[in-house]
Amino acid sequence: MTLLRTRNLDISVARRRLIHQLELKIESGTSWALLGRNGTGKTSLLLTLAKLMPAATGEIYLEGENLAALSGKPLARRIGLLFQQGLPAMPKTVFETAMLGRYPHHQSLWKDDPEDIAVVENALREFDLTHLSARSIETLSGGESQRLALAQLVAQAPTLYLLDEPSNHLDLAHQLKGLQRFKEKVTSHRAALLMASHDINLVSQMCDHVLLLMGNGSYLAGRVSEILQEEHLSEAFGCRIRRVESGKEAFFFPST
Amino acid sequence: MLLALASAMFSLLSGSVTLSLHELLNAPFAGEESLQLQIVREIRLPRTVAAFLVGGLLSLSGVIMQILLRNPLADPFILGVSGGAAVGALTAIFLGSSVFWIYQSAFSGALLSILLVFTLANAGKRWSVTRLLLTGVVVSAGWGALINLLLTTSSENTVQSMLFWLMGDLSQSRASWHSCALLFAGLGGGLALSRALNVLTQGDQNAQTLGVNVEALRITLYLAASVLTASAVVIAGSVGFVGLIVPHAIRMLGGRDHRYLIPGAVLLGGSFLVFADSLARTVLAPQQLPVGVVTALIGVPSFILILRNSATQSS
Repeated sequence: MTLLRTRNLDISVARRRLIHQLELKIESGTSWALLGRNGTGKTSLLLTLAKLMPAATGEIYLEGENLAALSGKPLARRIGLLFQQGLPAMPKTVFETAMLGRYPHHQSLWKDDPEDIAVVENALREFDLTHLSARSIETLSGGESQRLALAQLVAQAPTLYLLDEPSNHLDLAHQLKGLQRFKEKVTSHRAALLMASHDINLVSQMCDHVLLLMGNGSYLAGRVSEILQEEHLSEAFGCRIRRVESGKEAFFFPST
Repeated sequence: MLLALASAMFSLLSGSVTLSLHELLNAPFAGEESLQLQIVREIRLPRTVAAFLVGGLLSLSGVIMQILLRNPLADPFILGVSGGAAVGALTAIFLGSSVFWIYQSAFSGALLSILLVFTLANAGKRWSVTRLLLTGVVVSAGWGALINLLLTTSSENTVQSMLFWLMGDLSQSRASWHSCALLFAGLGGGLALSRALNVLTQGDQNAQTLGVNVEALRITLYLAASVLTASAVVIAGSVGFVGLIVPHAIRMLGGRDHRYLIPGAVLLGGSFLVFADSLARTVLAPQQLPVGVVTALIGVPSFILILRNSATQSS
């Protein structure tokens, strides 16, 4: 089933057209990577899909419904966004912060349902934060706050996960483990994921599809094996990128 | 709750005529109208209720302003509501109007200021927190200039009552039913919105992706905080510090979730002002101090104390 579909989508920032006539179709159960140089519109695209920024032209459909007609909690139950800059926040505890992710699901004005509490505890466990749950968020390290932001998004449990550089500040173990959690959600809950990243190797391991932004408005979209080719990547990133295969996996590195 | 009751007792008992607890509790049951009963019923009770209302209104407004502007230094007066009210009230005092007209004039001034800031902050571009804050501060400064103008051109007699008004004074205060209703409405509305307020602490964009209608919420908060402030200010003038420190005190005591912060701030703010007002009329009795002076005198050191304690806890 098609979860997200864009038609004729143009995105401009400061009167510069970054993405032109994007026709994107994200099926449920798939994980998409969003690659491109700095300033090619990766974050702008994610913000537009989350309805935080208006598109210059074009339409966005979520499971066949026009995004323009959706808002508030119903929309928040379907699309969740991890921000690049993490969570700006006034002081509260790790548990309270993760619980905010349940906002679109709360039944009662006052009480936290046992179900919400269970979901939050689960999310904290998945990102190794259980032992920190009573800590104030001001005392967390960069990687810990990033994991908390991921845990909050998991607690929100949308059907479309939009992640803006989710591996920021994360150590290698948590990069793999954390993103693996999202992959599990995507496959088991018929959800989908679109993540902006600069780590081509991580992307080639975690995702099955790639949207590669060229920076001049054009783009390439397709399966990982089709898009992650030396010539496409070199063109998009403006430097020579080599691909080396080792067994089933491919690795990418820039070379002079 | 206990604190509120205790402060009310303290307030009813203290004053130029000292009553014992025994006398107070017996007063309603005494056969004829005793002097004590009259004092309590006609002077102290209304004043105590007024003090509690003002404290509650200002604290609630302070909580809302701090979350609206996402600035810990925000207080109910930062956006110029009290300035507008003050100009209104002082103009009425200047013209020698009665208490009733001072009240009306203060309220009109506050309303004018609310609308002025709202229109200016909304004009043209999209509304942002910084824009709102700057507009509020500039409008406040304008009112400040007008206040000074009124003070310097008035006769000595009226300056005294103007200063009392400016510092916050409960000696003329009577609580009205509508301000009481407003406090309850504010409390109820605040509790209903408390989850959304919790989400809003994460910033506008994050709150939006979690399903909060940020634009509408901000307008609601601005209007609610302004009206709460206005109704407090017309009762008692600009009583400082309550709206700034009470929310912080509750937060530092652990009530950072708005579901607890909002009722906590109303109770503590009310109790605090009742207590401060009792001191204001007893410390130098029979002379009465403006209650704003007392709140500042108590507020500043206790705030520094709380700040120190929380700093040592987190490190």
